[in-house]
Amino acid sequence: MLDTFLSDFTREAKQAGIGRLEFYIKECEDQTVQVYKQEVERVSLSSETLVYIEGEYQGYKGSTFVESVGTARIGEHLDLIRQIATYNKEPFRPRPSLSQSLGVPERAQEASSIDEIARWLRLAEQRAYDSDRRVDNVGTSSHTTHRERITLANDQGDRLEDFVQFEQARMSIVARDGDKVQSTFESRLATSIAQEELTSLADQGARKVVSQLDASPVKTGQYAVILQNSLVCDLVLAFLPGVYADRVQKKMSVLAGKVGTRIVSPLFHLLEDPNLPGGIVTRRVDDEGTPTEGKSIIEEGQLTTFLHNLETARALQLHSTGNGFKNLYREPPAIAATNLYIPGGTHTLVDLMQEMRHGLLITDCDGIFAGANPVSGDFSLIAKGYLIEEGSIQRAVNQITIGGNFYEMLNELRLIGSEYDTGGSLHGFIQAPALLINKLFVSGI
Amino acid sequence: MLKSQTIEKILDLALELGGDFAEVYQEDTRHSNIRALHDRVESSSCGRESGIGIRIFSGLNSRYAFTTNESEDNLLQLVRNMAQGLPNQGKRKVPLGDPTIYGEAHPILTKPQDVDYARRMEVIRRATSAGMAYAPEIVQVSVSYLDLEQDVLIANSEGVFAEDTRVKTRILISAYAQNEKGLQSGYFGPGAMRGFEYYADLDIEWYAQEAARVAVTMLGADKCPGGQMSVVVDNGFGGLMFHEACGHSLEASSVAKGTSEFSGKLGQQIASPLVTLIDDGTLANEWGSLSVDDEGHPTQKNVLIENGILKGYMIDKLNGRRLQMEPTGSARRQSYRFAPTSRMTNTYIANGPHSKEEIISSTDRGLFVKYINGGSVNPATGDFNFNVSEAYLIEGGRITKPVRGATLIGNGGTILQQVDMVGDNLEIRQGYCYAGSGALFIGAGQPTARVAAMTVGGVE
Repeated sequence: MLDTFLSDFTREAKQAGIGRLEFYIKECEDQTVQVYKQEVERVSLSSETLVYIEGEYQGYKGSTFVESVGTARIGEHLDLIRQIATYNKEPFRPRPSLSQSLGVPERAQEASSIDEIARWLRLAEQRAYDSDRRVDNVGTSSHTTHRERITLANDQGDRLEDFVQFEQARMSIVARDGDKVQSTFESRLATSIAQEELTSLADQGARKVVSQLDASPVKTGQYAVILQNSLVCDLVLAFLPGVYADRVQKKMSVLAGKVGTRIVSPLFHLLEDPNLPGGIVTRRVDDEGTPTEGKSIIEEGQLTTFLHNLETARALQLHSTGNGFKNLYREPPAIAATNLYIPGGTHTLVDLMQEMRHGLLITDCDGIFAGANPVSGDFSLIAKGYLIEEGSIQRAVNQITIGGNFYEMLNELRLIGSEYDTGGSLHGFIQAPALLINKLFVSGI
Repeated sequence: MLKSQTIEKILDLALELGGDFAEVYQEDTRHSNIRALHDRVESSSCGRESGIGIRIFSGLNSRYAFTTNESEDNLLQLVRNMAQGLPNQGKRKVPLGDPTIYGEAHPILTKPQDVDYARRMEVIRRATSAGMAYAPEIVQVSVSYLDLEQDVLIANSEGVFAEDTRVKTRILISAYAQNEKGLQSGYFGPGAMRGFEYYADLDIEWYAQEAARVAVTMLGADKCPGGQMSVVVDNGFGGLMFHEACGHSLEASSVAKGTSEFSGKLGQQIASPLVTLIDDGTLANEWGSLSVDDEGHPTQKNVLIENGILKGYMIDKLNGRRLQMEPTGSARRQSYRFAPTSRMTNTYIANGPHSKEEIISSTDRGLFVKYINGGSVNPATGDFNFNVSEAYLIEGGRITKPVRGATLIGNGGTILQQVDMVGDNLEIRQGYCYAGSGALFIGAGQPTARVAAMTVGGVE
């Protein structure tokens, strides 16, 4: 059906005076299994084919997008391309040649069966209940398999394919003791997730939520803090847009003009690696057909490069860094990273707490999309964690905020942990260790 | 759209294979989304989003599938795949009849498909010019124009057969101000369930200048001090505080499994007697409104809290089964890619007895929040947070200097009891809400209201 659509579209476009068609095709398949109280509560299945099309009309670029290709009204889409080209008057620039020889992308691993996954989820759910009598409700235990094939094609018959897949597990666990209630939402993202990972997620979540039951705020003031590895993942991804060249060029990043200068502590490094073991964004080319590449973004605290797509690179007469990825298939490429990695130290979380002596271990923040500003690096976020006294956990802490500037905070970096967690999505995946920070402002009582 | 014979085949097969309820949702949406920086178009994303979602229930077990392949053979095969493992109950379907066509409550004068690209660009140009002209400190104005026309068909095995066209129009204006102190932004995003006629009486220039004013004001703002203080939240999108503090926790998706702090509390005093909270999807031409929800149930005005007493929840069909309560016209989804669940529409606090001036003058020390950025909540504990985009200190009953960077946190159950003054100037503004069934258009509103004590997360 897709091939028929592409050839019909190409033919009718030609008749309408639209040429040099470029197709971006995303084909996804998903399967989610969710268990509640030992029953399969929900199964979701999907398959979709999504097509974004650019073409040249009178020298200018127009675009449209189509989902149900079997019933699409091609004339209407051609009219859109003409209108956009005529009005925007953005010169059409063809994508670089797709004739690179990259071989055939890796194929999908066979997905586990719904019954098999349901069995793992039941075991994980039971594990959470069994771990402590105060575990009151395991609201969701789910497992998702996602596979995605990206095809870049044109009306000359050139074609380039890439493929990614990941699996994600989620568990929400509520603990209750009298009037006290705490909840946690645990998630894991990897190329493959089976029974063992689900069980460890249940253990980790149940342990955490029970230990948080007695949480209360601390006094407002400056504290030494350890940011747990999972939170470091979230924060680095939230501020990563600061190194996106499009934002820098639009004066929407405080890092503008800072390549080659030290922006954070020399202890801190940030690397990008599309071939990172365990990374999910194993793309060989970006959404513009540029090969992805490994690189250092921050080295010994120094900003080494911004991330470019074709357009931002062209503006500075540079080469794209292979970071031209779309936010949504139906939009032109913006900028994103593949897999990110923060090289770790040799200190376990226990070592970090002993080194800190007094302070806070921050495990979770919420509302990062609203409370972290990637333009300025400023943040103020609701947080949870533990009060550390004499190098060990004294009690749980909630209803506080941490606030400051991301880069100033990383300037106060004292030690890096050795244990990793992962986070992110297909728009940027990360593996990060915990960080011990000399001081951070905390608002509480 | 699908033929009714095809829909009947799908529903029949789903019941035959073990469902006790089946539903077909088809969507065909025309999108125009144009983003411009200054007057240069940065991104045009215009086209059609279309596909089909099928849902089958067997008791509390639900199956959902969606596809962009609308052929009958594919849809029937999808039903077979979905229904694997369901107990065979052989329930009979109610015949479909003719579809009910909705939409009359929200008249649309100029449909987006009848508006050419150039007229949309004129709206962007007006907003950009007004924003840039506001002050020399304004360095960028970024405008996103969006409209959509969503045709939906909803049919189920209980005889619901609804068709609706939802038209939404919105413009999002961000202004950036820069001086030697740094870079700050301001934002405003008016929208409605209307067509292009919305712009005939919308003062676009005022909204653009307001976004620019916030950016310039924040340039001169000091960092917000942290700690406990009284908080006065102004009318309009300040309603997002209640959206986070208690709205999400009253959705059946949180309540049904007993994991919301408000589960099992109907009839109890959960808030100050000054608080009456309403979710109303019927408000004519409002951004968060719908004629019919995404399960084919007409929307309605739901009083959730009345004078502090919990009166009801927002309920969808599946969670209604768990709660043994009737749906409330609250089932929503972003698109055919999502199974519907209970969500908010236009949620607001009703007017109270105080004037805004009275509220501010009776506050000795506190924070005045004019605009809110966004926030989130953990419905199980009720712990919520929201980040402010424009705020000022209140000292000695007067609004004094602007402060920036604050996130306010609290606990829904506690904050509701601590609302000690509610104004008489209700206003509803427009936004998005992100949750289980995707990103939705919502309205949030309130009169100016005061919370006696909240934790203000400052940066010094």
